Amino acid sequence: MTSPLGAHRAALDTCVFCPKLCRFACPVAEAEARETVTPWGLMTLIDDVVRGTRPLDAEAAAVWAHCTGCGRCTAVCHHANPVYEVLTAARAAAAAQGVAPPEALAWATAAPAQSAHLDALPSGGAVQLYAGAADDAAIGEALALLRAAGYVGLSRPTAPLPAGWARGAEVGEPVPWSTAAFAGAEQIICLHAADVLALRAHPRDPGAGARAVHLIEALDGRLPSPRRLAVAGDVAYLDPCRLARGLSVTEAPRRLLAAVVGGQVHEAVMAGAEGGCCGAGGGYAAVDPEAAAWVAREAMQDLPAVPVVSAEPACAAQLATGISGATGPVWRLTTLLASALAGEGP
Amino acid sequence: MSWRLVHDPALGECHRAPSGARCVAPLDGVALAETLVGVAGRLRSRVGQPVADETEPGEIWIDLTAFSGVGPVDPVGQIVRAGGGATWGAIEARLQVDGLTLGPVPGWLWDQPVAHTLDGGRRARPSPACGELLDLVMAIQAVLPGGGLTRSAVSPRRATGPDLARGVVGAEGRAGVVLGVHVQAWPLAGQVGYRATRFGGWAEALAAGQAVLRAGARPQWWRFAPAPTGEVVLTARFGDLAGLDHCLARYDEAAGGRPDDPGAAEALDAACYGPGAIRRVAPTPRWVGAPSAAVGQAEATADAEVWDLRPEGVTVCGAGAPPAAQASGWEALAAAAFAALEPAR
Amino acid sequence: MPPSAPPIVDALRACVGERQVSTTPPDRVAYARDLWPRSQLDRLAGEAPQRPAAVVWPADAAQVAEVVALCRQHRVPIVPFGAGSGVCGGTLPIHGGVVLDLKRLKAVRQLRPADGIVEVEAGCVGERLERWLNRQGLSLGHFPSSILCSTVGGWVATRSAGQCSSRYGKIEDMVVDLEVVGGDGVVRRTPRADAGGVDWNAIYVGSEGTLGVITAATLRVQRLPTAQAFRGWRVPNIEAGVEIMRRAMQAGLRPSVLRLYDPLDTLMVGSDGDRKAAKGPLHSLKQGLLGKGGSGRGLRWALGHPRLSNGAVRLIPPGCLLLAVSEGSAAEARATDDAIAAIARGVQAEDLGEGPARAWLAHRYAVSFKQSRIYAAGAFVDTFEVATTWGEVRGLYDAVKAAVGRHVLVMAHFSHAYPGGCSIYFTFAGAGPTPQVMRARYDAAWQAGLDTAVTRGAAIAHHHGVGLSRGRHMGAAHGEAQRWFGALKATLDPDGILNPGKVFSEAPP
Ligand SMILES: Cc1cc2nc3c(=O)[nH]c(=O)nc-3n(C[C@H](O)[C@H](O)[C@H](O)COP(=O)(O)OP(=O)(O)OC[C@H]3O[C@@H](n4cnc5c(N)ncnc54)[C@H](O)[C@@H]3O)c2cc1C
Ligand code: SF4
Ligand code: SF4
Repeated sequence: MTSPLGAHRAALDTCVFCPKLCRFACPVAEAEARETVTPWGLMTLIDDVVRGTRPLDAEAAAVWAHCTGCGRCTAVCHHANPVYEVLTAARAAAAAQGVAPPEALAWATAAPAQSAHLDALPSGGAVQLYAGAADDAAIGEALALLRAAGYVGLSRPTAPLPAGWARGAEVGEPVPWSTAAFAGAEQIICLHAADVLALRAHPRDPGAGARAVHLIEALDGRLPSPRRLAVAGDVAYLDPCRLARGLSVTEAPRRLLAAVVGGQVHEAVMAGAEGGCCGAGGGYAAVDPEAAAWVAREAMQDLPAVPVVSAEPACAAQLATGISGATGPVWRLTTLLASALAGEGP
Repeated sequence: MSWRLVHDPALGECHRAPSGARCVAPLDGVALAETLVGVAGRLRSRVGQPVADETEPGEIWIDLTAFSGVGPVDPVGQIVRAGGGATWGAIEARLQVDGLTLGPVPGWLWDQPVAHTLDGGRRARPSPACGELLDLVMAIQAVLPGGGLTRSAVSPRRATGPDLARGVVGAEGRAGVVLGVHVQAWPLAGQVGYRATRFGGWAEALAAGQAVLRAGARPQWWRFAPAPTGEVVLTARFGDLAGLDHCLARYDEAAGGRPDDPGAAEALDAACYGPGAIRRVAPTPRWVGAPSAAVGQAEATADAEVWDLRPEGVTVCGAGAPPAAQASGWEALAAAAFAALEPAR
Repeated sequence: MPPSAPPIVDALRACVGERQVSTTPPDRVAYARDLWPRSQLDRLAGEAPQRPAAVVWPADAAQVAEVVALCRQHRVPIVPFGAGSGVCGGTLPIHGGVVLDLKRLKAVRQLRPADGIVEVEAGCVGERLERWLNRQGLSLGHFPSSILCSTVGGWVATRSAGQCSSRYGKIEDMVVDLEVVGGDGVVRRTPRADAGGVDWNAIYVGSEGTLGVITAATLRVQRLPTAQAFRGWRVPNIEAGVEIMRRAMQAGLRPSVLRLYDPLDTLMVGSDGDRKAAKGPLHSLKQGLLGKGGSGRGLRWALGHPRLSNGAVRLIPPGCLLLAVSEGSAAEARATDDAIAAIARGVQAEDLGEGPARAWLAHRYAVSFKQSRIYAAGAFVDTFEVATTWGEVRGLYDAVKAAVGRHVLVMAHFSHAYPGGCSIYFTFAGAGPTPQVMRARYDAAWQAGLDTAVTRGAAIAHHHGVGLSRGRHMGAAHGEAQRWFGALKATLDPDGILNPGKVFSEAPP
């Protein structure tokens, strides 16, 4: 296990001798309270494998599954060490060796949920909706909002894709997909920032010059005034990590939310670009759902017992696994926006 | 009881008090150490003879008269070395020769030997500006039961395990006898200023006290006490160490209340502090606890006085005994630890 | 762990839950070292440290008590573990046994602003607590450089100090009471620090897991300061800087930061715009130490020849940088700043304006990121903090520097100022042709530093604690006071299972 990881020697060296300075920011390390899964611990284990002081086996690969890819460590690290990038390289090595956790592969290749809303769309148009792992209700809300925002001729990709084709890279499993699926697209609107990031990062231009954007970006500034407030009282907003840190979209969801909420919008102690993580990313929730639910609970623990709003369907679903007596229900932002436009309660 | 009273004239005199307590007056550290070899029982550090109605059977009084020296003074560090038998008054007098001070020394402490105060471990002289008197003690040298001599770095703070330098504090003599201490001093204030302020009641007065602390105005001493009118009067003395005018201005701004004749504070100062002071002691028992509970304690006590007010704690003199929870189990543990210190026989 | 390991692992699982006990190699390796630089050198040398037999993550004080009782029954050593940022080897499981990770105990149990206190569980990571308090308009006022990576329990257990200790005190000054689990497996709450009698808080604070497991602490909190004043001074030499610090503290001022860098450390900090930064070899050395060098060969050479390097350091101009931060109400911050300025002018200090102190505050934790680069370059770095009275400060500085400087390159800053004295924080760096030689130099530097501190009557640690690195000097430093420790240990941990071998390495049984 040297070639892809050799490029990360500087990052490994600094992490291995680091006092774990990003530990406070890592949602997994905080939730599990376990040194082994701090960024320092993950990187040290990789270094041990690279140096040959321990084998590359299922035990090591299982530890590497304990990262959501939220990027908070990199954001606070003065070396900007790309922990998640190194980790995905390590995961790929584990996958190549056949020792990756099977749950991770299953997660990466899962078929998307059936969606009547999506099926009803034509395929291969100029503006395509890529819904990823979202369920039919979330897709229905997204379509209603996009139409209200003036998008016409909405379509879907030409070929079925895995639930979140960004996931293959995240868990180091090669998930087959083709940019041909987006043929004809000028704009691809995604419900999850991970997909936007994967599309933008892909070496080949998906669908000749198509621009990938997040649904929230697509809606910001284009929705008509709501017919009524969706919520009279307070809510709390939690940033999806890849939306806030990956795409730097922090103000748009707050603007959209403020227009449909009567009370105060509460924030987590670390919010915006510093915002937390629901526990869904990187296959973590698939490999260790129990711990991922702790991450979700942690994300909400600073908040008052008011409804929690997230701007992504997968995030909202994962946050719901962490609901406790001390937390309110979790809503999708799109649910509130759609109900306010329709003049109904959520 | 298996202690052995040494009758070696070189070690000093032995006395027997009327109650059966015994007193040893060792002449130097070696003698003290030898005295304590084989001694078991509660050691009481005193200067002078046992006082009949203060002794309990089985106690051994250690007369520290031979350890009452004060000095030298380190003028740079503003630190004075004093024997365990030195009184706070003697220390203060010596410091003043060098333009230094402990801060206000209440009359009742003036003649008390340092070792005695440390044995008791109770807050002795709270002072927002100059610190609690016990906290000025930077290092303690003690002789253990069984005769060993402790060492302690003279240092403002440390991180060398539990604070063993303070092992004797509050041990009522069971952890050893204080041979000597190093005490931190302050420059003598050239100028002092007084304030007296009236408040509608305890809640208002104690809240004002907290506001004063937050504003960074720290009096050298202060006292909250009820007036016959039902009001609570805050009297305080300020020194010029951190700028007298600044301090008084911050006090005036933060305290609120109705200004009263500062002469009352000056009179109280003269009456309670320094060598000529009356040995006035605030009423007992004393309640120590959280600020939010202090108001109730003070209101429920006819002659309550507060001399010790901090952001996180208040002592209400004259109010009921401390909460029982504080005693639970710890006394037995302390007793066991002290027993473990006793030399094997 | 003795042969009885499997039964106790099963029993531990029954107590804290299946997944909260681990015997897997990755977990045992991850808990086998902390930030003691000697452990880092061991890693460079390719040596595997002693691992714990198991790691346990209790959820609350009751579970901690059960775990302790179980381990006591089976005579299994327990090492309490916060975040492992300790720099003295305090968490190393030298006798095997169970590492007890406390980070699941992290709740803020109560905040009572009117009483100026917060009660927080031991495993709460410092930065998280501080951010949460800030949200309520409060602050603990405790800012160790490791705040990002250390816990409240670790702070209390090691007698930690934050960068603003001159105003807010060290952690021992903040503790109102503690919840502890003794070696007998009983949960107790200490009497309030102001209750009088035996001060149990003073006993548990600094006990480094040897007398009890701290499960929660009630700590003093402050309102966030409404104003801050910043000032940097260039002082002619160390004496002048120390004089300003001393006079400020003895005048009853309470700046939050007074920090004086010796000439080499001034060069490293460079916040005066590098105006007088040395060129040539010293500049390269600085770049190397800051992790900006190239291959690290130059750095290794310089650090491998400490006499030459320390000699070259004497060429640096004697001027030093002094930083002052004053805070509180606007009036107090201003008055403190003015008063320090008046003292500083009296010793011909040059006012550098707000810049240097502001820059320091903005980058106050940055230095912690740098040390890994030095290890990566095949060298080592460590810090050694001592404390003494004002009159002794200069003598102690010279003596330690001379003693340690035979083995490593050494620099220092003077901080944590109190009316009675201050701390000297030495940073030393070294290198050697092999990891074994490096280790020998490292050990020699420590031995020399500690011997000197003991001989001069200084406190051999100001805030990093004892762990393993200072254990053997504790007897000399405390004399017979170690019998007090022995008596406390026998009482509070009757079977000696709590972090054995720490604090007093040669403590009486
Ligand atoms: C980069 C860096 C900078 C640092 N800066 C500072 C600084 O500015 N000031 C400072 O004071 N220190 C500093 N330190 C040292 C270290 O961070 C402190 O000693 C800190 O208090 C340790 O906390 P921890 O939670 O990491 O404890 P750990 O390292 O996990 O443990 C330290 C010791 O305490 C014991 N312990 C931990 N938790 C408990 C508990 N709950 N009950 C009983 N025993 C327990 C352990 O057994 C061990 O002996 C620094 C360290 C690093 C790496
Ligand atoms: S990512 Fe940066 S902060 Fe985190 S462990 Fe690695 S070097 Fe340290
Ligand atoms: S990417 Fe997020 S979850 Fe992964 S190690 Fe970094 S902070 Fe932790």
